[in-house]
Amino acid sequence: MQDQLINRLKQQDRAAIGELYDAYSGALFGVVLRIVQSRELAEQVLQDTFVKAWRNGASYDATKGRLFTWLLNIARNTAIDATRTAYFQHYRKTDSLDALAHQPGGESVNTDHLGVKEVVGRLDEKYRSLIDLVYFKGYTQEEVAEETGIPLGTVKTRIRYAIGELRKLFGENIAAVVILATAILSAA
Amino acid sequence: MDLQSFIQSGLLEAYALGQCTAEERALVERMVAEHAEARAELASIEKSLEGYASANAVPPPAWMKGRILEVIENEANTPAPPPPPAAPGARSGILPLRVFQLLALGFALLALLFFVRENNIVSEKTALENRITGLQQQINDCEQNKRRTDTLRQVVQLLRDRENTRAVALNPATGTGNAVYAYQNANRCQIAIDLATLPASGKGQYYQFWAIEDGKAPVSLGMVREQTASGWQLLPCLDNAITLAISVENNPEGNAQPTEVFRVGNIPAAGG
Repeated sequence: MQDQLINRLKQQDRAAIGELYDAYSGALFGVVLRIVQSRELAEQVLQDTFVKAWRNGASYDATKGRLFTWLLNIARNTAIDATRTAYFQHYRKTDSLDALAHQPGGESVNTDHLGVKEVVGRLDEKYRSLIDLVYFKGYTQEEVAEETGIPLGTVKTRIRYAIGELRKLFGENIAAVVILATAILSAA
Repeated sequence: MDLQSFIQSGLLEAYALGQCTAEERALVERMVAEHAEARAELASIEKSLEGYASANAVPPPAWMKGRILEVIENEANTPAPPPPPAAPGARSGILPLRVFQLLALGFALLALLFFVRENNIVSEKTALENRITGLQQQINDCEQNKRRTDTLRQVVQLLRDRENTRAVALNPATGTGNAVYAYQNANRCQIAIDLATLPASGKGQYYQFWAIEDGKAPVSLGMVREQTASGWQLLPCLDNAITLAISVENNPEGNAQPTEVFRVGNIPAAGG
């Protein structure tokens, strides 16, 4: 199923972008929002992410990683670039992440009925915070060490451990259900 | 590195997080391509992270999808911009022509610079030459003043030496006219002529000064200038001369014998 989607993406099938959007826009938007801290700028970044994916679909190599990882890298890099612009500096002053929680549509996808929050909550905070910095905010491990004051070796060990825990929590079946549920709820 | 060490190294996690260096990325991609177990491990890591991201998903606004598809639709329907037209003369001839034009421009600028520089140099040279001429004139004036001052000083000294100086009135040899006065100092053996008393000569005529000893032929003491800066002229004397005379000559260098005696006077005897 995904192989066909990838082939259509490589051929710049516009409908394929719609399907990618349905599958991944929520997860990507969540990541982008954490980086740029502005809903308006995050919307622009998300749009740019999918346009870039459409333009560069032919360059995706499935042997080097999953499609979502490829899309996430595009989104993360676009978001980080956006934070370096004056545009970002402007919106950061007027639109904070705290405010997002009170805006319509600012809530996370409701996956409570799947027990996802409970699952994620089982991950120790000290691991989750490191994963969040690296995975969601695009920090390098060196930057995490500098930011948190934790030695670089410890950062690497904890991140690896955290991923191991995630693999337990998000066993293949659970991950598939979460992704599917997210896609359905995002498209709704 | 064997497969298990590779899996345990943490490189797969770093790769999934986008934390690898280019070298590490190349190693991961090679190992994943070669080993199904590494490939499965990476896929598992990525799925876990994907699941975590999905658990933290935030729904974008409902209109977002339509806008993105619209942007893509517009971009897909926009023809690619044609390549910029080649300039006339492009390919074979343009580079040499441009090089030639640049060289010509360079030479023109250099020539202009040299012209301006040369002009400046010429102007400076002219100004310097004018200044040198002016200075030379000042030197000449100074030297002339010095000569006049020297002459006047000698004349004053000669006149003050009354004991040895005799005033000689040179009267017209024929007809009437004013006397020309000369002062001979026997001690210095010098004669001072007061040129203010000498009338201007005619065109092509020159005055020559003579001393005459008793019973001898006149001896030339030199040419007489009608004017000098000091108004006086000093000439040597002839020790035993008893008469002084001025003749009119047609030769600016003078003649061996007086042609026409113009003024003549006897030198008074000492004590007279």
